[in-house]
Amino acid sequence: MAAYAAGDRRAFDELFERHRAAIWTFFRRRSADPAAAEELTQDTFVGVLRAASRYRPVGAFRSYLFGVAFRTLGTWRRQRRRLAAAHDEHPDRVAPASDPASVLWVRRALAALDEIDREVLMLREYEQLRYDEIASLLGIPMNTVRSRLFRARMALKAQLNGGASRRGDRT
Amino acid sequence: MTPAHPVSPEEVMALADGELDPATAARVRDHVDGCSQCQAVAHGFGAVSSHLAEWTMEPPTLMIASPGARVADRAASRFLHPLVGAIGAAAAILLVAIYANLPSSPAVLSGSPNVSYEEFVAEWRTQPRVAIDLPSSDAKVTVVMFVDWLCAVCVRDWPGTLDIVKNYEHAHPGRVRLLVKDLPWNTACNPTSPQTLRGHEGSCDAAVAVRIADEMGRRDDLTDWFVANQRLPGSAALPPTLIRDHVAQTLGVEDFERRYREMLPAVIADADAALAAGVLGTPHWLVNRIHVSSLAILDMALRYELSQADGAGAAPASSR
Repeated sequence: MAAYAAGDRRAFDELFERHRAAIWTFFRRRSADPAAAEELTQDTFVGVLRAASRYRPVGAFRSYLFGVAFRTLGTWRRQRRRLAAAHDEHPDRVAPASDPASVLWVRRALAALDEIDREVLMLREYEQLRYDEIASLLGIPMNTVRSRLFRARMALKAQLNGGASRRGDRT
Repeated sequence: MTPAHPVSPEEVMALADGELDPATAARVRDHVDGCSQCQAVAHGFGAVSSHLAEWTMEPPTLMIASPGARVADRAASRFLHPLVGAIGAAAAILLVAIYANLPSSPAVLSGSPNVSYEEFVAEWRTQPRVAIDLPSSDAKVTVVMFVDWLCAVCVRDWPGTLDIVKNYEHAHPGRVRLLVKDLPWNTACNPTSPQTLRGHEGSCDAAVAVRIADEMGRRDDLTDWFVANQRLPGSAALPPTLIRDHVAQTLGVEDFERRYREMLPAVIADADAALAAGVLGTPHWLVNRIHVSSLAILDMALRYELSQADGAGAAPASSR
């Protein structure tokens, strides 16, 4: 980022190439619509561009980038709730029937969690963020991250133990 | 934490996550190494992680362009987009202004996606082709567009889709075809939709109306009407009665209800096909069965697929 702010355009392109798949999957898991995921991915990098001159290299860039992505996601969710019909943005649909049963199980199990618990778990499992990074991103104490992560994992573990025999029935 | 377990399950979890400071990690590890119950706890968390890892994501299906030029491109498209209105235009101008002050400002003015054809092809080749039943044809490239005619983005992208396909049809007669499939956001004709979305009460009627018009060779007349009457934020959507009245007046169709009942199963079949193909939103395209979720790459997709069919490089058809 420092190189980009100093005028090296390729520096940003390198950052983009390095992180675009991670940001895409971050949004793709949180939106059933691939086009929305693309838009949000671009919005995230636009946000980074806008803030380039103010960027201070404290902490990992990846953590900073997910912070921008998470704020972008929050804005989108609020807009979608407010303007869903007017802008033809569709609520998430159920998983396609072609999804493997195990993936359906994961999506349903995650959907059953408390919203913050789910975010904590997903940020840890999929984005591989550290506890302190998740705490900073969500604006909650690190101990709360740990307790919520524990609760979310226990809930999934309970579902796993209780529902394993039924998973194969789901289509 | 109990007398038998001087560490808490949360600490066991944090140990597995590598989130304990060295001293605490050593203390917890000493206990876990000799405690089968705590090892089972850790194993249980590992099993949860393994199951979560089964939910993998496809690689980006779109050419999300390198940021500089694409930022400008998007800003320009927002500026021109009739749906966005004054607020969006102001934001677009702001974005252009912001970007113009950044080091790569010359790309802003070009307005072209900063993705080369070669870059596109490299990514396109990695995309899977989905299974979907399509009528047989001699065409080498089949573009399937999934639409809801009351979806504002769909009608925005419809003219652009026609332009691209027609340009290639002109340059490569008989080798390109466009199929339109319905994906209305209305449960009356799309059982896969979780609900009938507000503003889409007439989507089923619109789907049938376009099918009727297509039979009469008047499809473009009717779709032009949908484009001209696309719903703006805050404005009312086209109601079913208005669509039916328009079809009666312009196409002379007096038995719309009967035709509706006849054609409804075909609309439902399209929606089912969309679901089976993994199409989750509108507008959406398949180019020779590869997903395309943005009009921005449709041209390059056709160019590449034609080049493969011809066994040589196909020149871009568009002079745009």
